[in-house]
Amino acid sequence: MTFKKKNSSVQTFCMVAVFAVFAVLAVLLTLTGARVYRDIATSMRANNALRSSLSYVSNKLRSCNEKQTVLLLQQEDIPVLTIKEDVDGDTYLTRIFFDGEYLKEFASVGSEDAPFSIESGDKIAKLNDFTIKQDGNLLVLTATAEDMRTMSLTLNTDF
Amino acid sequence: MKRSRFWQSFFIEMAMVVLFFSLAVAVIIRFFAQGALLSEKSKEVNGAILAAQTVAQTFEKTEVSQSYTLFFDQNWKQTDQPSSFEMRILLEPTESGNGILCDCDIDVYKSQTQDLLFQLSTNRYFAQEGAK
Repeated sequence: MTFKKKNSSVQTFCMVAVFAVFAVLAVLLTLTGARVYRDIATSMRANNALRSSLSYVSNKLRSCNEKQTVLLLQQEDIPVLTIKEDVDGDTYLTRIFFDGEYLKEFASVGSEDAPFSIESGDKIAKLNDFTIKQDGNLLVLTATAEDMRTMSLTLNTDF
Repeated sequence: MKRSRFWQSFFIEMAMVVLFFSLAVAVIIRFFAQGALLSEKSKEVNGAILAAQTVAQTFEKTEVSQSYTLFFDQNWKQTDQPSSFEMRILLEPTESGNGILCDCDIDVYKSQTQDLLFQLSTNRYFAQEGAK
């Protein structure tokens, strides 16, 4: 009788142990999966933001023709990359700038010195930082993603 | 007796559940690992594209064929010593009109595995001094 009782409690213990292992493994898998997914999503988002911001600006500059002028101006205390084009007496401007959170583009008609609000413009990509520096005929674009990864692209504006 | 049979069948059922769970875990972990590797590879290719574009935009005129290698670290900062990535550049100038047309082939490799990450071919015309 005692042996039977003992045997039964061993069985119960084994069952509970197997179930506990199963439950712990299930929780571990879920946590690991969530962490890996979050890491991949963060990395891909940062990668996309870096690539799209740098590619957008470089393609914009490469598509400029001889009628368009590229200027790097300081407006509203931020560097503003301005593409200027005169058509039938009107001056069309495309301004590309970083407002502290987003890389933005703002198109308007008027003088390049005319004030504009950094609140305006279309969002291109969410970044931690985006700098534009001119070094002779080279334009150095540096983007920093939300995960603090930095990428640079140097463009020759001698076209 | 009845109780013992109940535990036996429950034990077998649990063993089966754990077995299938283990198989599922093996497959899912493989997917996670592949996802992480692809994400890493995408990051490397992205860096390689931008580094190659920068060199394609800034290479200087050369009078004779030239080949050289640039080294980059994990964050795509240029280094003097061999590091995580290497970029092999081949410049081949040819006389053309009043200047030199310089062909440039850029191959970016991962140093450790020698995997080709990105390849770019471009050319640039350098007008001779005084020529229009």
